[in-house]
Amino acid sequence: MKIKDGYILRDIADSFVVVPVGERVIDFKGVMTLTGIAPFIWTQMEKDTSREDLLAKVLEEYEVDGAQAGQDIDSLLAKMAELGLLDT
Amino acid sequence: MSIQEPQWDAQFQDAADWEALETTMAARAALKHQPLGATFELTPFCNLRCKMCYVRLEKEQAVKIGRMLTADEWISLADDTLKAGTLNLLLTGGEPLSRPDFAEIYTALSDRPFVLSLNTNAALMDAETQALFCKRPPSSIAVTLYGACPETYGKICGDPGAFERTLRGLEMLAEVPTSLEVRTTFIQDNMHELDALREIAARYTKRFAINVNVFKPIRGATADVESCRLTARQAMDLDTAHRQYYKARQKSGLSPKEPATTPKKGKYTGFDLPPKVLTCMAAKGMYWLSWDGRMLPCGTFSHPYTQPLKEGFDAAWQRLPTLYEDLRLPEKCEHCEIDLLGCPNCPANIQAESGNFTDVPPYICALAKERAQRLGNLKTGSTRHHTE
Repeated sequence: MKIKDGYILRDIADSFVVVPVGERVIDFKGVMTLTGIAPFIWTQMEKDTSREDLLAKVLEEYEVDGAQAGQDIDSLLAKMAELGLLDT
Repeated sequence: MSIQEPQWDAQFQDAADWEALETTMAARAALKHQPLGATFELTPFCNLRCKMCYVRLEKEQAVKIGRMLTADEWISLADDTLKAGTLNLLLTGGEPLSRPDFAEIYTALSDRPFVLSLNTNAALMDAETQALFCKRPPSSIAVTLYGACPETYGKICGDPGAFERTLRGLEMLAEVPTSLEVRTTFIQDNMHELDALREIAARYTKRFAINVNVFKPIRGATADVESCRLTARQAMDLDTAHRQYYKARQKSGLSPKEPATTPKKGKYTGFDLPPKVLTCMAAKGMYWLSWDGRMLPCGTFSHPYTQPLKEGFDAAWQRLPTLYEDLRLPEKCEHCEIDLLGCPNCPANIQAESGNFTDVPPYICALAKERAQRLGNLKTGSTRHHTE
C-alpha cells in the first residue's frame, strides 16, 4: 500500500502540510497538517510498503512501545483509508 | 530522534478550517520571515475598462513601463517560490484570463503544491476554461461583479454586454468544485445596487463581499477615481447597510455566518516585526509579483521594489523589508485625533493617494474621520465634526 499520487508533503513555517495537486484537488479539498511522527509515516508511505515494514521502520526510528505503535499505525491507516488517500 | 510518547496526530482540514490554520501558519511564517503568501499579477491588461481600476494599463502604457513576464518566467518563478516556502498563491491581474497562455501557466501551477486562488471578472469564461477548472480546481475563485444590469456595466466598465457575459461566467464557475466568492467595488454608478447585486451573487454563492474604498491608480495606471469614488459618508453608509443586512439575517436565523469581508487592518499587529510601519503581513510573510517582475510588499505599492528575476528570488525576498525599514507614517498622522487602528493610512494607500509617503491624503483623512465619528473612537476631547 502507498499514498496515492498527487499528494505532496511540504515543510512550511514549522508545519508539515500535505497539499493535493492537479486533479487530486477534486478528491481532497483543503490541506492536511501532519504532526508528531505522522510526517515520518507519510514519507514512508510515499512508496509501496506494508504495515509490518512501517512498524519496523517506526521502531527503528523512535523509542516507542511496539504494541502501542502498532495500534497507532492502524488508527492512522484507517483514517487515511477513510479519506481515500491510499492505493492498496 | 526519540520522543516521550507516540504522537500520531494527522489533522485534515476542509476549506472552512483552513483559514484558522492559515492564520497560525502566517504568524509563524512572519516570525521566520518566510514568504508564505504570494500574488502573481499575471497581466496589467483587462477585457473591461473600469473607470475606477487602479492597475489596468493600455498596451501603449505598458510598453513604456516594462515587459510582461512570459509563461516560462512565471513557472520558473513559481518553482523559486516553492523552494522558498510559498504555499498560498493568488493569481490576479488585470484580468488573468485575458492572457492567451493562461491555461499553460495555470496548469503548470496547479501541478505544484500551492493553495491556488484566482481573481477574475468572469466575463471571459468559456467552456474550455470551465473544463480546465473542473479538472484542476483552484482552492477559491473571487469574481468581481460590477453592476446589476447592462446599463451599469456600460457606465462603469464601458461594455454593457459584459453584464450578461459575467452572469454566464458565474454560471460556469458555480459548477466548478471550488469556494466561490462574489465581490463588488462600489462607486457612484453602482452604489444604488447593493441589494440587487447581493441577490445576483446569492444565485451562485453565499459569499458576497463589498469594497467601498477606492484609492488612486498606481504603477502607471491612469483611472480618474476622484470623479467616481464614494465620499467617506457614502462609503460608511453602504458598509453599514451591508453589515446590517447580515446582522438582521443572523438574528432571524437565516444567515449562520458573518458576511465575507476584507481582512481587517491590524489583524496581525503585535508581531512588532520590521518593517514596523507595515502593520500587516506585507514583506513579512507575503509579497506581490507585478506583471513585469517587480517584487512588492503588496499590490498597492508602486515602489520601492526588488527584482527576483535579476537578483534571485531569495535575495529579492530578503532585501524587500529592508527597503521599507526607515519608512514612517506622515508626522501629522502621529498626532492625529483618531485612533489610528481604524485608519486606512497604511503607507501603500498613502503612496497611492499622494504619490509619496509624506503628504497626508485628504481622502484617507475623510474616511478615517467618518469612521471614527460613527464608531465613537475619536480620542478624548475631540468633537470636531467632519464635513465633506
